[in-house]
Amino acid sequence: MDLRRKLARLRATTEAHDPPAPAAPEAPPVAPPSPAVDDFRARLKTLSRRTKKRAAEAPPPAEPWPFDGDPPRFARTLPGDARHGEVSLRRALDVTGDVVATLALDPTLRGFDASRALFLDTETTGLAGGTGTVAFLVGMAWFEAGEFRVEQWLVDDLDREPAMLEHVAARVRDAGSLVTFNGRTFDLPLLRSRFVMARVAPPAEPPHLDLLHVARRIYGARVARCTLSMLERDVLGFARVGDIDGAEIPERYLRFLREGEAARPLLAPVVTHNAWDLAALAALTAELGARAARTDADGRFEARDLVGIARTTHRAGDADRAVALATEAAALGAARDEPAVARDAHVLAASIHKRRRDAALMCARLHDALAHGDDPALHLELARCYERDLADPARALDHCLRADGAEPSGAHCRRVARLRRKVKASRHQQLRLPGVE
Amino acid sequence: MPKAPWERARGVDAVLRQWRSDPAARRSLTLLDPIPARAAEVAAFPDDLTPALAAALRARRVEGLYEHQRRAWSLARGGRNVVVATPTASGKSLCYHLPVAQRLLDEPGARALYLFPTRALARDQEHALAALLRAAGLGGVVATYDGDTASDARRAIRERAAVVITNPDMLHAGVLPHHASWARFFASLRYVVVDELHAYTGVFGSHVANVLRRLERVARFHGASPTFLCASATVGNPEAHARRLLGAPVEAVTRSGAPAGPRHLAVFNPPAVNPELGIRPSYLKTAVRVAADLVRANVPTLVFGQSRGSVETMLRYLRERLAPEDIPEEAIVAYRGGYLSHTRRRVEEGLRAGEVRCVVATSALELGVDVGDLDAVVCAGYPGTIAATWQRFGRAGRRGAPSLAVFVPSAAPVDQYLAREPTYLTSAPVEEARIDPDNVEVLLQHLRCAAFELPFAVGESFGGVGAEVTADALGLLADERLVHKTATRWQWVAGQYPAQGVSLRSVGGQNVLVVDASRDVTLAELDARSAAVQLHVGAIYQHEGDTWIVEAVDDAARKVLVRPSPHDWFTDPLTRVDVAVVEEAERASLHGDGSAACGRGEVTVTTRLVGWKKVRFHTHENLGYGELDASPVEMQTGAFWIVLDEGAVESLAATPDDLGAPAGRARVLDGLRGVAWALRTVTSLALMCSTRDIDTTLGGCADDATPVRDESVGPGMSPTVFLFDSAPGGVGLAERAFERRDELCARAYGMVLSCPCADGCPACVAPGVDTGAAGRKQLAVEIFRALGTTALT
Repeated sequence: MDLRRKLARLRATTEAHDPPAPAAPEAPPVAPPSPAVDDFRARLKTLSRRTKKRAAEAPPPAEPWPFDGDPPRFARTLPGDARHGEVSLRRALDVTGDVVATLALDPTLRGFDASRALFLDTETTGLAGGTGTVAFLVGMAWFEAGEFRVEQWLVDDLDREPAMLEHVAARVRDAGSLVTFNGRTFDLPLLRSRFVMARVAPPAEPPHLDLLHVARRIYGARVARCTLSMLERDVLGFARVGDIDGAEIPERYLRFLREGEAARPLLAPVVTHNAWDLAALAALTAELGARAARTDADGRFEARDLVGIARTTHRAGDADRAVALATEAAALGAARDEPAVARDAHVLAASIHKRRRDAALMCARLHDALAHGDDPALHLELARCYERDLADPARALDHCLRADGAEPSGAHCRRVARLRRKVKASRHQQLRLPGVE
Repeated sequence: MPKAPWERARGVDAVLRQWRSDPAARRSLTLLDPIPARAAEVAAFPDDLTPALAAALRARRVEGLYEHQRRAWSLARGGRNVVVATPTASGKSLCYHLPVAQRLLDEPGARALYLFPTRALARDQEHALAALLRAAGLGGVVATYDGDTASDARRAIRERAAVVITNPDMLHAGVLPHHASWARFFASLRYVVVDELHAYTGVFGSHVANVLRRLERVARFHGASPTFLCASATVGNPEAHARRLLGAPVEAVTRSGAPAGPRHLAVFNPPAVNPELGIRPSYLKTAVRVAADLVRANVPTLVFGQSRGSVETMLRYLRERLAPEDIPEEAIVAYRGGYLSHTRRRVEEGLRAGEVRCVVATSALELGVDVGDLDAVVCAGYPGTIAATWQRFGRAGRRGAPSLAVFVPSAAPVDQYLAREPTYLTSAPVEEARIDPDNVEVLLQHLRCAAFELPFAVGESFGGVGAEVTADALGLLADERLVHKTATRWQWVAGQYPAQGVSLRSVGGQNVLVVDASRDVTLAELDARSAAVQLHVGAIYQHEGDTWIVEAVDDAARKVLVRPSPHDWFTDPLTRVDVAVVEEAERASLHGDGSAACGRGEVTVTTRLVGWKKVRFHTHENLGYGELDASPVEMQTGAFWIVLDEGAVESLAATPDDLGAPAGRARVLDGLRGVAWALRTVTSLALMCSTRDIDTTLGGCADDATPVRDESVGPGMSPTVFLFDSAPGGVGLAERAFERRDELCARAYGMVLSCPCADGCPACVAPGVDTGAAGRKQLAVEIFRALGTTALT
């Protein structure tokens, strides 16, 4: 048949080629399987150090292959006092629902309880989404009796994906809440899709804390890009050593599918990468909670973060607390010689007062902001405030003249002219003594 | 002194009288037999039509159904796929709206999907359907889902809309690859409505057929098997076309029960200015003259142009011509594709109110958009198929009032052939819509998308291609590392998103964007081959009335940068086409007596732009040439060839010219080009495809008569005429030409012999350089004789 001949010809000309093989994992070498859990725990203990300037380094621990399990399941337990960078994982348990609900701007999280949360992260065959993307590794973690348990399911045979999904569904069903990084846009829709494709009953989804959005609001000013790895490095103080690039992951999995057992060493770093991600989720939760609740006593706060928290608190509807936080952030910024942060904090407080129509307080805060650095936009705002709310055209004019460039020149000229007229008029008024005409 | 409005004669009949009485017009006019008026065939509302719906219809002054609407209803309710192929303005949309509306009322959770070829049409029909359903008590259930739909609205539509309206591109790239999010929709999908089925022909149709294969697969996965309700304008083979598109049996409803007024048909073809050379007056000016006469007589007229450029030109000429007679500029409007619905509605309202008296449009208006009632249609240039011509003609005719359809042929050979044989327009069978869903390139692209959407079970067949072919194709995908085979199925494992790389309107090769360099705005998109030929540096590109000049070509980014052109000339590309045979599928001899060899198979066609002409607007003076060295564009397609054997070439070359000297090899080759030209004209008519769908070139043949690539065809290489499909991968035209080779050669010979020109004109062999005994036309005749052809007139 014509079509078959054409296809045959096409196959003959297509070279079945492999893209360049990802670099094999280098030192440290994969150690022979030892009592997995102890080894991991020990390594993690010795390797995580606390340093202010230099983030802790941790090479990938040995990855024993689960010889039983259909589908394969990697399991490990971290002790309660395990740290991820500078943060003790267990502090996540101290985070309250109110704090989480405020930071996430999501009232459904008011009942958040870290001891019943399920931390979730997937590794997939691609980022495109849609029905053709497979979550081949689903990592889940939770706190149990004070310890941090990690469980990762691997799809080693695509025909056995439904069985894996059943396990995942069971865990999600039992969870009080879900914690992910970008899970709202990526992991959860993907999993929902996989449930449909595998014809497995999807679990009801509990309240979902997506740390990406929270982190953006709080740390957005601090990190270049709000990715988990940047946050892990800059906020948590943890630097991975020997971690693979996320872009390599799909290719490693494909080679594993084709080559089977022989390619297991390729997949081991993927499992480690995923485990680190899960630990980072828990640590980040702890860190955010601590910041917001101010329970970390050694004052390692970044004033910038406090501004972010203040802003988020305002969006959550608690204006008073937001103002308090902003004031504190300003003081902190001033004390630490971070004038830009102090100014931002004052501006934030001013905008909150503006929203509440408290012109006097707004004005005061704007002056405070200016004390940390001149800014024509702030002068313009003050000019407006003095003219409209405080009926002081002289001061308004003064600030207006210093607001050069904050608005188009036509509008600026008109404002100046108007204020001059008003100043002149008020002076005439002052000259008219009461009772004398 | 122009006449006052109340003094001018009005109406179609008046214009015809005027033309008949004017000697110059009379010479140009050929009247064909008018089509008599037709009465309505009406049936009562069916019994199972809900009273709410019946009331909604009565509120629209619809008291009964036309016979074809009634029949469509019965078939649809019975779960049979239907295609309604009645003429324009016969109330086709009610054929599908009613069964869908009834089902939504019977079954509250039911869902329906509507497909339109363009977003503009989709938005239009959304209003119409929503209004009908609201009147029947079903509000807020219709939604359009396309590229413009806001992201927060998308989720609501997926989960709750009962009727989703979209287009094939969105279905292909935005819906099917995410069908898991549409689970609820697909599970209850009862009807799929496909309107404007005649738009799905050629390459686009072949793609859409595959998108529908994928749709059926996905619906089946979710447990549904919807009924397809289709509507088509007149084509020669509605049932077969629909069946090939859907891959399932379809019932055709072709007899219209709608009424129509009497229709006059005319061809307006002014005589040649120079008959020997075949030079004719500008057909655009002729069309404008015809339209002006109609507008003066208060006849609402629609003028169709072949291209945006011609529409712009006619618009300008028409306004200029009518301005001195106090007909305002706003009375003449242009319609181009891509207009928003409110602009179209303005045109409609203008027509109804009498403020707009003439609309000049491109073929974009062929698709169902209703711009109101018109009494006359002027078709400037042959649209390429009989079907398209009748679709345009069908736009005129208020129910009961006489209407007029005028064909103004251009100088193109097919147009002039039709002008000489006008009964062809009325008696030739309407072209059949042709698609080839199994074109291997198209099929593979969609197989990738299908594998992404749903794993293939081992042994499964994609559409009707069969399990073996599917397995072969999947093997190819596995070689490309896109799918992985497990024990039971083939699963997509690559990180890419295949739907993104597939354009439904081209095959092989991505489209090129035309970008206005000064504002960084994308003006248009062209397929790779057209872009390579039309958008070289220095080319003039016409778009929506503006002319642009190409400044730079960025191959890597697939962009062409243009800026506004200050010149008063445009450019005409000169190309060189080379053909190389990849595989010969069949060999035979022409006329069955061993005199000439011919064959068919697969070829690689390389198109290279070798230069271009500068031509002044309006006067069409040739201002000069440009040279360039562009990189060639390659494609594979199907071809049919005829070999002129070397012995024949030598004896023809010895033929003496007017001065007694031997004609020489070069002139023989020129004559062969004439043969190729004639063959192409005749083939496009006989196969009832557009002249754009097939192309010809000359090649050479090695001694063993296997064609090889060598356009210079030196001695010893038998010259060969190639006739190939313009669409990459081919849609089977060359194959069909091969099957009818004897007849086609006979027709071509007959056409050349009977052409009244002296030495060749566009209507027969196209003008060559030399004239007389060794001129192109004469040599073409000799060549036909050498091939053993007997003329068929």
